[in-house]
Parts: sequence; structure tokens; C-alpha cells
Amino acid sequence: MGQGGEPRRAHAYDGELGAAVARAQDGDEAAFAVAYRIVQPGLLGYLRGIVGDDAEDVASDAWLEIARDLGRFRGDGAGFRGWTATIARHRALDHLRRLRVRPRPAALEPDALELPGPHSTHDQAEEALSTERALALVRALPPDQAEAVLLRVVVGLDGPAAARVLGKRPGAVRTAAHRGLRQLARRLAADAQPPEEPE
Amino acid sequence: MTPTDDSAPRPSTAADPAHVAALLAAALRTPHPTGEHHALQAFRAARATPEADRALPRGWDDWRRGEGAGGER
Repeated sequence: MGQGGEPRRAHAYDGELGAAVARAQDGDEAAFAVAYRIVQPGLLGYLRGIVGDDAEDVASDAWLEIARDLGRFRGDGAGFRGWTATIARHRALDHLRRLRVRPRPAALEPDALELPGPHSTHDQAEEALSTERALALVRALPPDQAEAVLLRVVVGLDGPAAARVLGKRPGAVRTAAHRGLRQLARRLAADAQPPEEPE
Repeated sequence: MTPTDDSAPRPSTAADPAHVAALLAAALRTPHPTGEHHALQAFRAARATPEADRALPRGWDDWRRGEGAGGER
């Protein structure tokens, strides 16, 4: 049982990840590559939701720190996910601060997105989301809900781990993730409604 | 796919938050991200640097104490 009374949900690859991290801490480069391949897909998705097209650059900075301080990490595979997400989040917030000092066009221009047109069918909305559409939906949420959803769904953290990354209580993060997903579900359902026939 | 596999899309309605979560994960997770070479270079460089010379990343101490990232500053 994790903090906040929520059962700890093991991620499919956490066992393999924990073993790879332990070997990487002993200097095994191939094991570090294994850890990278397990963690990076979710980490990059999380960063895309925060910094848009700059996600790869921010992730690259994060991995510099992760590699540098790997020897100091103590924990299992799930802990490594949380630790890396914490580092990535700090790098992303640093990046956003720099952008506020040096304003530039938003990373994601809504007008440039491939938004579904009036011909979209219910099947299209239900069975697949483009990356751009998914990002637009997430970034339209209140920031606390967006981050909670990304950490829980894309990074794969459980509630307590996501709460530690965000510096909030597990209950607050659980609620934010739930509200965010409900809101996204409503928006997808609305998009899937066929257009009204003109009379 | 087993009933307990919550990582893959499953037949449901668009109004089901669990289904939305599966769609989001599929859309945003990058199966084969680039950058591994860069990460491995960082790993080699870190191995070549004495640990005492490496600075701790911000947030690390918070994580170790289990106090979270401390929120936005």
C-alpha cells in the first residue's frame, strides 16, 4: 500500500527497469540503455505536454543530470520513474522560465493543429488520437490536471509517486487526474457527435 | 490482452475515462525516441568524472527525503 491509502500499481516493466538501473549503477552501459528505452517514451510524452516541441531538448538536459547522478539514486524501478520525472520537471520549469524572460511564439499553435473537421466520425475520434490532438486536449486542461494526467497516464506513475513529483498530496493529485480524464472524455464525446443537419 | 492490462486501448465508449487514458498513452508515448546516443554519451562522461565533482540536480534532496519536488518556484 502506498501513501494516501492507494495500492501501489506495479508498472509492466518496473522489475526489468529496477534491475537495469542497478547494473547501470555498477557501470553497465548496456543496462543504462535499457533503462533509457523503458523510461524515455513516457518521459518525452510528459515533457511534450509541458514544453511542446522543445521536449527533446529538455529531455536531453534531463538525461545529462540523470546520468551524472545515477550513482546517488536509491530505489526500485518505480522509484526511478519518479526520480527521473522529478528531474525532467525541474528542467522543464527552468525552460519555461527562460521562455518567459525571452518571449517567443507558443510551442503549440492551435491553428496549426490537425483538428478534426465536421466530417469526423465517431470511430475516428474513438479509436485513435494524433499526437497533436492529444497534446491540444491535454494543454487545454487546467495545469494541475494536465500534469496529473500526464504523470499518471503517460509516465505511468502511481498516485503517491506522482504526488511526490508535484510536491502535492496524493489525494489532490488523484482528484486532479480524475477530473482531467473526465473532462477529456467529455470533450472527445462531444467531438464524436455528428454535425447537426441544416433544416 | 488480459482484463488487467490497462496499458492498451480496450473496447469502450469515448466517454470512459479509462479508455481516454489508454488513447492518451498511445498518442503521447514515443515508442522509439531518438536521443539514446546522447544519453549514452552522458553516461560515459559521468563515469569518467569523479562523483565528488558532480553537482546534485535540483529536487534530488527533496526526492530523497520523500518530500516531493517542492512545487513550482
